[in-house]
Amino acid sequence: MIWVALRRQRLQLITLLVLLVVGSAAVLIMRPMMLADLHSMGLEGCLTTGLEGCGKPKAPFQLAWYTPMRAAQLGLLVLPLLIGLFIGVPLLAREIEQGTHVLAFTQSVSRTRWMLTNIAVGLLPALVLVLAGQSLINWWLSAAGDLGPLRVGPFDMNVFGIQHIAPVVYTLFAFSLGLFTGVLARRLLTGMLITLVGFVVLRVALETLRFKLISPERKITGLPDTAGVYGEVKQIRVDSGYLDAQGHVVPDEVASAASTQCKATSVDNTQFFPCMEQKGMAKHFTDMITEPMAGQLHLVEGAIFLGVTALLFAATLILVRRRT
Amino acid sequence: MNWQRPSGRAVPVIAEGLGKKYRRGWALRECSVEIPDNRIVALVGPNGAGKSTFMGLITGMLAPTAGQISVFGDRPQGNGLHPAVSYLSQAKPLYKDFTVAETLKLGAKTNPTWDQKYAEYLVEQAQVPMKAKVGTLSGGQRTRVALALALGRKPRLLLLDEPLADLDPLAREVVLRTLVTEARNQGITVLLSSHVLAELENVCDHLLLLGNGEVQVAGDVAELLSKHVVLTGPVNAPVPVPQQKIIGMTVDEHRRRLLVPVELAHVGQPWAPSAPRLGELALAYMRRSALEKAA
Repeated sequence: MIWVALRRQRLQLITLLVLLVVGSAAVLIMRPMMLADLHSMGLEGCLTTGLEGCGKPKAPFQLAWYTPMRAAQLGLLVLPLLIGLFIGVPLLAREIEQGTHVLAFTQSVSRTRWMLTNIAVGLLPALVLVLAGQSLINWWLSAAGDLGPLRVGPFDMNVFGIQHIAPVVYTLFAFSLGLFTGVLARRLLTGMLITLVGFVVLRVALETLRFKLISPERKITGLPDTAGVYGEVKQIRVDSGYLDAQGHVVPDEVASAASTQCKATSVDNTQFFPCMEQKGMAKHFTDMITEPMAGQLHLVEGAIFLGVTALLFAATLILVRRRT
Repeated sequence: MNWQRPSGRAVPVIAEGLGKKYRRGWALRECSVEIPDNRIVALVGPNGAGKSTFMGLITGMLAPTAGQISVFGDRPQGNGLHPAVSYLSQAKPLYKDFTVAETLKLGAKTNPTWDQKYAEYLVEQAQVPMKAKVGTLSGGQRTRVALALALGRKPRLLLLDEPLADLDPLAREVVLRTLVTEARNQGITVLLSSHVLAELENVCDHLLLLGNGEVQVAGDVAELLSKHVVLTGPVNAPVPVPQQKIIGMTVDEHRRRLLVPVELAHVGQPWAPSAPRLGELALAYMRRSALEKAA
């Protein structure tokens, strides 16, 4: 059965292999070239400060390297969707569309084994490509430090999507969605269209809800606020406001009314903040998702994607085993 | 239910009160029938009679809505085809980008009872090149490869759903001859559905006629033929038997032909009795079933 699955997916597997070889070769060639440019332009000292911070001209390096690095990053971001569309959807939908599932179902192989073998043969090489691509591209981009696309920190959507378990879980989700919609629609193009829409919808939904998935870290300061967290690009401020003397959050509308009144009677901050304290605003708080929490966020988001993936695989199995 | 003969050899197919309902209604209902061992069975009926549904239930591709079915003593569960059964559907699905050799390899890899030499022999006998891609083959060649794939499993029951439908008359004759030869040589029970009654006449020794989703006639062909007679008489002569006894009637410019039970054979002049042909008998029952449906 494995031979049959391998033979049927020969074209997809060859494509994956070519992508792996060409992509790996490109990164293995480009990374040392980029490091040589960094060295020749004397930019090694800018890796943690960014170009603005180290007083060097940025144009030559960025012109040469930012676009290829960004292209690699975007390629890794769309790879899971492409795998879902071009490997997940056709895997069973093409069989059903062409009627060859009848051939498969009328041999001495159970439908469950047929489906699982096909999934294994299609999915495992795709995961290898994603993992290899993720390792190589992150290895390349991290060598550029703050001079490359990673400078925006782990919570930027384009960075979050290529790190930790994100590429793997996105791939599993896209593949299972493709598989399910293909079997449900029984048509290749319809399955691809539904997969495209479904993948984008869930990715955008979780992109929007991402910072509500874990409890933020609360930083409490006296008035005026001296936490100095606003300028940090690598962490996310999810909420801020005032606490009363008992440490309870003051409702926004109360704080806003107090602020309006204090602004009207204050000349500057030396009058404004004491006024706010008098109105019950004892402290200031900022709820932050800090850089070290990125791993936790990846795991929570990954668990949601994996849960949906498990449901889609189970639903596909039910459809495949249905005898109507 | 006893699924086995006293001899211990399991009966290929036993259906009891078998029914299958789709959203549009019953495709097969109250079907109680037995497919005997080592016979070539003609499965006949008009479109929508339930022939493909019946085969689907035997393969396990479909689950029954009512009743039960046994295939060599086992209940089809849809977990792969019974090892003693092979199925060739009307569309004869094969992977078009596979070569013939790869198609046989598929059979070998997915069937524990596979006989590679026998399958290769059938392909060579059909003069189909092993290296040719299935997509490049003619309809007749593709049917021969599909037949080799089905027979290579060494089945004891071969289900053929309209296998000759898209073949030219010459290819039909060759395929049918191969089929009958292999079935006789290997001791295979064949369930063959076809619209071409004349073809079935020469090869089948058992008839299963479905109509309106129900079994209309089932039995040994020779026995069925011996129980019926055709009365031929002038078109203007009064019909000599009660209307309800007439199974089928055809009328042309000069003659009227009546298919009736053999007990009514001797009605006298001007009606001459003769033995019916299988096609004539099947067609008469099919017409009757169509009239019943219309009524």
